[in-house]
Amino acid sequence: MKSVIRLGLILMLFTAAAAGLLAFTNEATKGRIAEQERAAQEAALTLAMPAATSFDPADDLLASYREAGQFPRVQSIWIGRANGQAVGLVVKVTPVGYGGPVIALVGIGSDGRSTGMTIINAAQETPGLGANILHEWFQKQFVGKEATRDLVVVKRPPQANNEVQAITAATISSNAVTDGVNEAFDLWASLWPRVSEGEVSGQ
Amino acid sequence: MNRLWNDLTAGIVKENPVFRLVLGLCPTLAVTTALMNGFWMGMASTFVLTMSNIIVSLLRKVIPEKIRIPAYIVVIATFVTIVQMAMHAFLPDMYNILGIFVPLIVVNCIILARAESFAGKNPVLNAAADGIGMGLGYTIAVMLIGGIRELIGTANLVFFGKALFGAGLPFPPAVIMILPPGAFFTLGVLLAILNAMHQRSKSASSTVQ
Repeated sequence: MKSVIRLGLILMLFTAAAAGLLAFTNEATKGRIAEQERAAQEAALTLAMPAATSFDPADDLLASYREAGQFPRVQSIWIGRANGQAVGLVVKVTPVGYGGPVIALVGIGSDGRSTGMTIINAAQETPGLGANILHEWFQKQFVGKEATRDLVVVKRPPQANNEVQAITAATISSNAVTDGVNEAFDLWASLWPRVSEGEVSGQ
Repeated sequence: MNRLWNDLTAGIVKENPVFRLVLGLCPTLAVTTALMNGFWMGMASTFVLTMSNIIVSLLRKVIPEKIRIPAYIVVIATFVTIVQMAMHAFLPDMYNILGIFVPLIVVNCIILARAESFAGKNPVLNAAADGIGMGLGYTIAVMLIGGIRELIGTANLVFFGKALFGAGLPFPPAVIMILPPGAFFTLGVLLAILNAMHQRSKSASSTVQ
């Protein structure tokens, strides 16, 4: 019995020392980690909407859709601004791909055309297949699309504005990205009039 | 000095953790879809293995026999977490590549096995040498498996962001090689080849005698 207490105490000393070390490391790194993540997010948002110079988080605009269960794949939104003027929306969507969620940012400008699409996480897609959605040629296809028309995935070079070409042998991942972009388009169509109106009345 | 050299080199060929000791197969099978994945996973594992070997060896007289395993696990998990936080803060690009693999190092049984069978019984320099050697052996093994799978599975090899064969080799990629079954195929064939070589050299040396 005595030895159990003694061993338990020794083990407790070990874990306490480990916890102390980890607390120290966490304290030393957390500022930089937050800074890195902020910079990475800023860079990704800029890729999705190159024309904007700042991005305001606007997740509160999503509340009413959340309650109604609409746009389940939309995670966050930002209002992109240039010279203080709203120039579009950036929507973060998380459609489910082949292995798990794919995280993408979709930018849609005030003219109703997509300004950029960047995939920030496809770690669970199969390397060499689904992970090819990270290739530039695939992501570039989503630029300049009309947000009022749903995109369709085709297995040949696209011919119409609302067509995107699937990646060979990775139709599920290609479809997932396209579904996410379509949902961002629908959200834009529903939300943008309110945003631009709010801007006018607010000023 | 000679002993130290032996401890360092043992892990690379003679006691290669993957091919000879057949240890740590879970992360080996999971991350070897590409050459560079193997490289980074190997590097991160080598660091954790060496550090945990050093700490375990330094504390080997303090840790009571009965609770050595939980104590080792605390040491290993602490190091993995420190590596993860430091990498996230100072090497964000590398963290993005390795992010999902780093926590996997905790469950890599090579590290616990070396703490238990070597570092807990040997002086600190030997333990460090063993950690580096085993880590390099592991790195070579996962790079070899990853390279073979990537080569056959995608008809190309990517090394530090550069495709080595331009537009790809002139054969249709066998996609199954980068899917989970490919890991078993590659490891099985490699183990068979290495065992055959080992047996041949053993019988050759016995005929000489």
